[in-house]
Amino acid sequence: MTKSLHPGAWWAWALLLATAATRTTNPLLLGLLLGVAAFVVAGRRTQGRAFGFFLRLGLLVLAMRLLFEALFSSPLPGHVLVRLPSVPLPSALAGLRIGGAVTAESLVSASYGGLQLATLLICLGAANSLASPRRLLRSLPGALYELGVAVTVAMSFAPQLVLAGSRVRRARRLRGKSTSGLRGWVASALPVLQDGLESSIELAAAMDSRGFGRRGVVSAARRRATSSALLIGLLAVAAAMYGLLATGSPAVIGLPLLLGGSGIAVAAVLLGGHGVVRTKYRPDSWGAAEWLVIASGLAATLGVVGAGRVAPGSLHTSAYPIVAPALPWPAVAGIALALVPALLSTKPRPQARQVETGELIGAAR
Amino acid sequence: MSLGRRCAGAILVALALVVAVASFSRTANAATAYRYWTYYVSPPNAAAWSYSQRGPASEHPQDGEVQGWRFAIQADRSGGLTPRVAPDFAKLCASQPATAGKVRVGVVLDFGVADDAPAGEHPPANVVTGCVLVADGASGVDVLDAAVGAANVRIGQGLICGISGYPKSECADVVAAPKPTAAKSASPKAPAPAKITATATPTPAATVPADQPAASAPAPTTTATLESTVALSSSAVPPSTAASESVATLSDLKKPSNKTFPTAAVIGVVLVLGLAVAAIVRGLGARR
Repeated sequence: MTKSLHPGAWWAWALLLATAATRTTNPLLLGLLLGVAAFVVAGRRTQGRAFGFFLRLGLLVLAMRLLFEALFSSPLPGHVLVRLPSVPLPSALAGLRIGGAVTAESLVSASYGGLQLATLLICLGAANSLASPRRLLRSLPGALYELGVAVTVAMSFAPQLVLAGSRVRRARRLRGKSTSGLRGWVASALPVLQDGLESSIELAAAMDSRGFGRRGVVSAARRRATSSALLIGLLAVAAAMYGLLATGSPAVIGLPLLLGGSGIAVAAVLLGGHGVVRTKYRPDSWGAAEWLVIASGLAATLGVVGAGRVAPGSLHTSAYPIVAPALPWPAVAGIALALVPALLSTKPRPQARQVETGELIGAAR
Repeated sequence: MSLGRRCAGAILVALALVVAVASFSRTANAATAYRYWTYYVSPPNAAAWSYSQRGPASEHPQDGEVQGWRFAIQADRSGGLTPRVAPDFAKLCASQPATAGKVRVGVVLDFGVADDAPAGEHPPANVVTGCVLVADGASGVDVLDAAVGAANVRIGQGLICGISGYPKSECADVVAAPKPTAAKSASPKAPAPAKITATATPTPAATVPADQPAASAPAPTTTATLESTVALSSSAVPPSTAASESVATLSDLKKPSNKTFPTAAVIGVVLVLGLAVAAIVRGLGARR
């Protein structure tokens, strides 16, 4: 049990939880999903910061949603809590208002929507803290290395920018120049951007020298064929996702498109991967534990979807009239099964972590 | 050879586009009928229903207005199904004297025909009519609340979803269009359910006399026979549309809501809180 799980398994697990969250506005189910994500993340000794950040982000989203509901959107009728001073708007803007009555019903309804969005974000945060996206990129198939380099550079740009900002400000302060006010910001903007960009390019060069983003000898026609097949496959998958997730569109088109599209995409990736000459250092293995993690995430999604079939209406809690949310048992059982990875998640091998970060980031610095 | 390959690629892309467009247009065609409570108004002295251009939360009735609700599968934009009772304010509010500072509003609630009911449900009543007295400046939702009691109006996703518990849980679901209108298919777009606060966008159908949406309603004969009756009994309607029980007045719809202790919700809250505490304890333990 000292083995660290494949990052792809963690991402799939978290995205399946997020998918479950998109299907319901029932605050109890959303709370259970949040609790499961937090419980599994809590067992990890490292990388708790990412989860804390996303937790705060979720709270912020919820607060903003409530604030906007109270200030700008036409309220649901019902019990008036407060009457804010209001600004009359022309009738052409019906549906929008500034100030006015704030009803308990509209706040409850907004909090359900906000909680759903917050849950989605926090599930992503869980994925981030369970397995760093950089580690996931490392196990990308060969055909996507170019993409992987671009994504890694883009993802490291923002943190680099923050570091560069503090460096430049410290330098200005040492020279006795002001770092506050508009003038200070404008003067430090250019060096900060330059510094951040430079570090990212350095990182890209470091990755390139280690074989990322490099292709073997492949004919141009074949490269074009694989990339167009990949594009078509991904477009089909996107359309299928729309078909599957949007309520009201028949699921009949969703599933075949999804299967066909992902089939084409996988074939393209396999074809493109032939040309890549690169070996992986200490590759992440994919075993029974990884399958188990994915299955437990799938249980949560299927449980929530199944609850919609067994007890229609239980997934969406009415805010007018305000009623106690239902607790559909298939969803509870499914979400409880999603706790299984908590038993598997042990701290990652410190050695393995060093190698992983050293390979991508440390070498560039 | 490379030309041939390029041609093959182009054909492949074109095929994919055709498939994508075809599958999407098919869903668009299938998704044209909504089953929902449609909102109609009839301003003072107007003899016919008109599809409300505003949602009930933004619509403020005048004295002498009639507001109508019809539960139906609305499949045809040019012939929306209106309440099967004419908006006759004089008849509806005959016994209600005008009051200063208040407005009298006639109310017609048409629970629709059994064929339009969701699976496993049956319209709890047929057409219920009445007259309510609301404060000046009240909205259409206030009128509805006054008519059936606020606890019996279910709102979700910004729509009036249910009145007096009908339908039980669905809200403006997309359903397959009924056969006859689908066969016509000249303008298969249904009037989409408008949000309670929204202003309806002018539709192609709105250029047709906007105050006569019932002109091409599929059941003109029923409209004619029902016009004379205000309070309906089951015998007055064709057998296919007979209601399970006849509810004649608005006060009959004001069922007292039976409050039971929300055991499931309490269990759920305990589960969520327990999980949160466990996560915090586990997190503290792991950090140490």
